[in-house]
Amino acid sequence: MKKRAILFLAALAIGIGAWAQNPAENASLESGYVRVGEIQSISRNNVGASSFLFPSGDKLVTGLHSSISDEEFLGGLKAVNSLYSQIDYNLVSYGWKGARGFHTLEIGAKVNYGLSVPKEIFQILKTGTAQSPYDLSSLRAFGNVYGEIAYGYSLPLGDNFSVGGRVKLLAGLNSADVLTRRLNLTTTEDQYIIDLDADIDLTNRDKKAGTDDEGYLDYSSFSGKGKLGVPTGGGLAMDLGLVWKPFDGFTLSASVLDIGGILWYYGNAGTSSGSYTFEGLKDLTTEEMEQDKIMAKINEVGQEILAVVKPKAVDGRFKFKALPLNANMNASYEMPFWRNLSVDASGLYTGYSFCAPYWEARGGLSLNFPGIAHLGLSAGGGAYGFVYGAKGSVEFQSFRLYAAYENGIGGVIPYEDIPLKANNNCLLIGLLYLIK
Amino acid sequence: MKRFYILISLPLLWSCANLDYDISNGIDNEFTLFSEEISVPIADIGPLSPKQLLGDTDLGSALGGLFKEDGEGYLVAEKEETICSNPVYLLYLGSLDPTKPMDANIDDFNGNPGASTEGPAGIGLIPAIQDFSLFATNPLTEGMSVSGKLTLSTLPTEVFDKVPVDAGAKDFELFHKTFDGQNIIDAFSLVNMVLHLPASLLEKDPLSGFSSIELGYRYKAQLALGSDFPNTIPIPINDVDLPIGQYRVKDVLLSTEVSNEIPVTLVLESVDVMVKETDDEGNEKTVVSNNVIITPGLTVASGCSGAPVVSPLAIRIKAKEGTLPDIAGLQLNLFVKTPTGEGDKRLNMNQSIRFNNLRATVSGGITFQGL
Repeated sequence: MKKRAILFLAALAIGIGAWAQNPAENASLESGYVRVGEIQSISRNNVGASSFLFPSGDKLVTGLHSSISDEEFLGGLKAVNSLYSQIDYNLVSYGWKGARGFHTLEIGAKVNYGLSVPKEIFQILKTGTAQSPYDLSSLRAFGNVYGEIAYGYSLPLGDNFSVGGRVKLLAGLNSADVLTRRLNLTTTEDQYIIDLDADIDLTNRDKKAGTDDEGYLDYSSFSGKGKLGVPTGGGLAMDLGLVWKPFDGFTLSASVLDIGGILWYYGNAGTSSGSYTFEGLKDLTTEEMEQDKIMAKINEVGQEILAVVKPKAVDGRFKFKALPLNANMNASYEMPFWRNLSVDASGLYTGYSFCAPYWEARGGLSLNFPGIAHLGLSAGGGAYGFVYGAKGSVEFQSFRLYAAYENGIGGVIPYEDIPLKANNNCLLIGLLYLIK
Repeated sequence: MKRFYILISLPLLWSCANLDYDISNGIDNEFTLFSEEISVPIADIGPLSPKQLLGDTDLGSALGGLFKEDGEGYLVAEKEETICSNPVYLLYLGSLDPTKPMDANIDDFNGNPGASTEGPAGIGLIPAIQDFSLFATNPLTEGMSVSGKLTLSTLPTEVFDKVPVDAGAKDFELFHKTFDGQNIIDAFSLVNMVLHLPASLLEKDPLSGFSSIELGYRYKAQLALGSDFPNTIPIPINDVDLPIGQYRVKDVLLSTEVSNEIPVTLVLESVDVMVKETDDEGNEKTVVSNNVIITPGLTVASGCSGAPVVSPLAIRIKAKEGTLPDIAGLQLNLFVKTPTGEGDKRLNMNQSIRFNNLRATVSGGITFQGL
C-alpha cells in the first residue's frame, strides 16, 4: 500500500510535470527515467480582450468608441494591465537512483516575455487630462531567452519525509528589456511636464547598435556579426522542496522554485532620462506666424521631446533579472475506501518583478491506476477568477505520455485564441521513458 | 512541436469561443478621445504691435493723412507754418539807410495750431503731450535778433526782448514749450514782433539778397484716445477653413492672459462663426452659423508703455446642438474704448499686446475615424 501511495505521488509529480516540479518528490522513485521534449506553455493576462473590445450590433467597437462609457471601459481595466507568456522546453531529462537519494539532470530552454501598461494611459485617452498628475512608471516590456542545465537531488529522511533541491545553471541567450523607472506626466492648463527615466537594453553579442550624430541609439542599424546561441548572460537558480506524509494516505508537499536569476550583459544599452515642459509654442510674433515657421517651431518642440524620450547610448552594462518566483503547496488524501481515488488541494503563488503576483488555490480529485493511467481534475479560484484544470497520463510498457491543461472561464475571440477575460492558460505535454 | 501544441490547444480554445467577439466582422474604427476634457497649452503670441500688425500699411494714409507716426513711434498730429518770410533784397530796399542796422516790423499774427488735431478728434483722439515752438531763420553771415510778445491762450504771455539769432542759422528756436495734460492750444498771437537786422544786410547775404528771413511755428501733438470709438470695428477673418466638423467637437474654450501696453480698452463685443452653405441652386456661400454660440467675455484693459496691464480672456465656442461645423471664417466685432487707470496714454505704434499662455480646453471629446 505504501509503495502504491508513493508511486501515486510520483506519478502525480511527474504527471503534472512543471505544475509541481517539487524536487523532493523524486526521492521516492525506485527507478530512473528519461524525459524527452516536454513542452509547457503558460500565458497569464490580468485583463482580457473584452476589456478593450465591445460588441455593438454586428460589429465590435473599442473602448474608445463614443458609445462606450468611461466607466464601462475603464472599469474593466486593472491599475496595471499585464500580459505574461512563458514557454519552457525540456530537451532531455535523466533521472537515476543513487545510493541514498535520487539524482536528476535536465537540459532545456525557456522563453518568456511580458508587457505591462498602466491604466492611466487609457484613462488619458478616454477621458482626458483632468485627473493629472499621472504616474506611468509601470510601463514595461521585456523578453528573455535562456538555456538551463539543472542538477537535482532528492533524499528521503525516514519513511515519511523527504527533501530535495535543484541547482540550475542558466545561460542567457538573448534579452530585451524596456524598464521605466520613472514616467510622470503632469498636465495643467499652462503646461505639460513629462519626467522620464527609463532604460532600454538589448543583448546581441557582438552586434552593436549604431548611434546617430548626437549619440542616440539607432536600433535600426546594427554592425558586427551576431553569434547565435552564445551566452549573453549567466545565472544560477535553485528549487527547494519537501514532501511529508504525516499519516497513511495523506501527503503534503511544498516547494519554492526559481530562486535566483540571470546576470545579463546588455551590450546595446540606452537610457532615456530628463524632463521636458511644454508650455505651448513660444514667441509667436507676426513674423513667426507663417505656416512654415510655425511648423518649424512644432518640429523644434518634437525634437526637444525626442531628446528626452530617445535613448542615449551608454556603455554596455550588467543587469540582474530575477526569474519569476514560484511557490507551490499541495495536499493529497487517498480515499480509504478506494485508494485509487484521492482528494487534492493545491496553492500556487508566482511573484513577478514587473506586475502584480499571480496566485490561485484549488481543489480536485484524482484517479490513479499505477502503471496504466492517471487522471486528475481540479477547480478553484485565484487572482484572475475561476480556474479549472485537467491532467492525465497513460502508460504503455515503459512509456508514459502525459498532458495537462489549465484555463479560466470567459471564452476566447473566435479563431484568434485571445482570451476575453483575465486568464491563466497553461498547457503541458511530455513523454517519459521509465527505466524499470 | 509548435504546430502540435497549436493543434492540441485550438479545439480546447475554440470550444469557448464567444461569437459576439468575432473580429472577422470588423472593428469599428471610430475613436473618441478625451471624452471629459483635455486642456492643451498652445502658444505665447506676441509681442504684437500695431506697427507689426499693419505691416507696410501707412497708417497716416489709411486714416486720410490725419496723423502720422513720429520717430519714436508715437501717433502725432503736426502742423508747421511760416508766419512771415521776407526776402533780404526787399528788406534792403525798404531800409532808410542800408549802411545802418534796421528794425523790421511784423504784422500781428493770430494762429490756431490746435486745428491740426481737429481731424483726429473726430475719431476720438485727443492731444496728450503737445509741443509748440517758435523759430526763426537767418541766412545772414552776421546775426540778427527778435523781440516781441507771444501769447498762447492757455499759457501766460511770453515776452521777447532782442533774442539773438545765430548768423547763418538754418532754424533757430526762439521759444519751446511742452504741454502735458492740458487742453489743445486753440490760439496764439504775436504782438509787436520786430526783427532787428544788422547793417549792410545785403552784403551779408551769401545769395546777394535772394535769401529769405523767416519766422514760423511748429506744433506737434502726441495723441491719445479721448473718447470711445463711436462704432464697433468689424474685423473679418476670412479663409480660415478649419475642418473641425469631422472631429465632432462640441465645446472649445480658448483662454489666455492678455498683456496690453496699448492705452485703449478693447472689448470684443461679438464673434460670428461663418460657415459655408450651398443654396438650392448649388451656389456655395458663406453665412453666419446659427448653431454656434460664442461667449466672448473679452475685455482687454488698457495699459501703457512699459507698464502692461494683464487681463484674463476666455472665449467659449459651443454648438447649440450636436457638434461644431467646419468653420469657414470669423467675424469679430471690436469695440475700442478710452483707457482706464493712470499712466501714459499716448498711442505708440510700438506698444505691444501679448497673448500669454493661450490654451484650449476641449470638452466632450474629439472623434477620429481610423487612428
